[in-house]
Amino acid sequence: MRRLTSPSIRDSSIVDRGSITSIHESQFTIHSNLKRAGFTLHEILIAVLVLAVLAGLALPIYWRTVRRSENAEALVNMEAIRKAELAHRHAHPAYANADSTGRINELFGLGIQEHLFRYKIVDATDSDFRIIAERLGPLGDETLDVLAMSVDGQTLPIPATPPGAVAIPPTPDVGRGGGGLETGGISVGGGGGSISGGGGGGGGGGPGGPAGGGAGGIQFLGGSGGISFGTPRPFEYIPRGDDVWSAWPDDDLVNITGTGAASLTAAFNLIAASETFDAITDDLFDRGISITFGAAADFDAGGICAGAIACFGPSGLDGQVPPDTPDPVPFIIFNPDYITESAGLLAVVLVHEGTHFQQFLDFSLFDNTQSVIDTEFEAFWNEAVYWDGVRADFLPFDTDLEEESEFIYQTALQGEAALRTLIDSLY
Amino acid sequence: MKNNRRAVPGTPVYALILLASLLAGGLAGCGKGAAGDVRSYRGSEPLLAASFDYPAAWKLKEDRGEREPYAQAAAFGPRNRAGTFTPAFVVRGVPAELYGSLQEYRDSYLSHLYKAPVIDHAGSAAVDGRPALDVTVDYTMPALHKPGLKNEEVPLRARLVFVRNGQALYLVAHIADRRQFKEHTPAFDKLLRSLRFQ
Repeated sequence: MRRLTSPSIRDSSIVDRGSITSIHESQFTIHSNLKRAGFTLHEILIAVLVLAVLAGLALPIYWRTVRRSENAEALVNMEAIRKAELAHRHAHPAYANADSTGRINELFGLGIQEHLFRYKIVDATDSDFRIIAERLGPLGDETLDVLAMSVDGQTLPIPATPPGAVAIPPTPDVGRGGGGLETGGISVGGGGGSISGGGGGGGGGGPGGPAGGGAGGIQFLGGSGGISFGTPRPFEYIPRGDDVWSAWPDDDLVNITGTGAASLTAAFNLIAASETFDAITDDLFDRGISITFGAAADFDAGGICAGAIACFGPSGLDGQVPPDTPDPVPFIIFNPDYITESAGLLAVVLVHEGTHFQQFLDFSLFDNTQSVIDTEFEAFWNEAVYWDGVRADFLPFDTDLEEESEFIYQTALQGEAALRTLIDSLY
Repeated sequence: MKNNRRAVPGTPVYALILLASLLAGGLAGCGKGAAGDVRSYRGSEPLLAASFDYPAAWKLKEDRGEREPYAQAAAFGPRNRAGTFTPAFVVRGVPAELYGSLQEYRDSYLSHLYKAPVIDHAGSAAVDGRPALDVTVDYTMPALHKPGLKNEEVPLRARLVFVRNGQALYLVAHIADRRQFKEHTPAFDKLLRSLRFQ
């Protein structure tokens, strides 16, 4: 009953006390235990195989985590370089190129180490640059892959050799006035009706032709290869239906009052100066719609415009319906937290809310066959098209409203489907 | 006694195999549970000549382009915990002539992601036996200051699978709050496996 172990066998007291038989039994037990202490080659191979399979499952996850952590370090450094470059630009006529990490440190007084990545600044002009981070190989003399960051802080990794990998996605930038595309950039077919803003309705060349006529037009700089859209894609202001309020007399009044009226008036005038979007200000003017900075409480949680920078108050349809005059008439109010915002950005917001007013005028706002997604899509879309014409003035998009406008714009450039799906996911 | 002991030696190995089996079985079980019951969708549009399974609890919405040619079926799932974004499985067909190639469709989509997109994975895949481009990308939706929305930044993740069927290019996408993306991946994998072109 007593469990025997090797040391106990050597214990002479057992031998002294036991019989020959018990000694034989003890020896047998010892032999058996010694045999059990090891594994056969077969067992070891199976165990190794199982461990290898488990390791094979875990290692990719581990390496991916490590790589993301390393990328995060590079992105922090690239963001530091980007900010230093933006600050540098204030005192210089153009951004600066730098062909090494040392040169970057020297230019901007930074202390970035070449730990896992080597950094460069390329394609610097007076309005654009790209920061490149090259991941160094174990010997420090080879590049494993590359990260790139644009002037507005967008980053895209560029795999070096990989089957089926993503080619360098080009960095979008804005071209102003007259459209046109830079050599080697993206071919955007279809003239004014393609991805270019304004311009009054899609005239211009056919597929593959130059972007023509618009206030904007997109240039993609620095890409290898490029993107071409074989078919023109409309990216323009959505025209409205007829005004159904035929008995509502015109006021012909720019009804902007109160604190901040100067900014709002400037925003109104910016839109009015647009060949296309003046349709919105014309409608606001005809009906004398009130545009003001509202009360803070309206924008607090629980307020009618909670969390918004501005909202359109349709005033409901309890009383008069078309063709009569609505009573009270609709209004547009802005959040007083944004009273110091630039007129240019307030104009972008006014395009969105003004589109809702137009939906009130042609009654599509109350069309039961339309959903909130449809009405918001038109407002978001018009906002994006307007932003296309002015966004270059706001680079590098570092305020909340600039980022919001740019996000909506980029989503719209992915296409109508992408913008509608986004709105579905938001509301 | 002797026989019993001979039956024992493989125990550590068998225990490991058993553990691995339980682990694999558990993972498979989790996937099945997350995917839950499904509904089948069959598109009738020329640009959406496809069928697929999606979670029965998700709300399916068909959409056709008014300003651009496309046809889409999107299934929307439960709102994220922050109340800022609803995840979606999207199957979208566009005319092939809109883009030069499948790769250009993919690159165009990626080049308009804002802000700070980071590609987590880029490779190839097969959908209904057709070669496809498979990308997983992280990016951030800035705070939006519109009535009815919480003006909070939302970290997003999208798995984008681009595949060609005849004269249409398809995007099969899973777009969700990055913090809850994994909760829906078994269901999206199931959608991908079930996708059949007509």
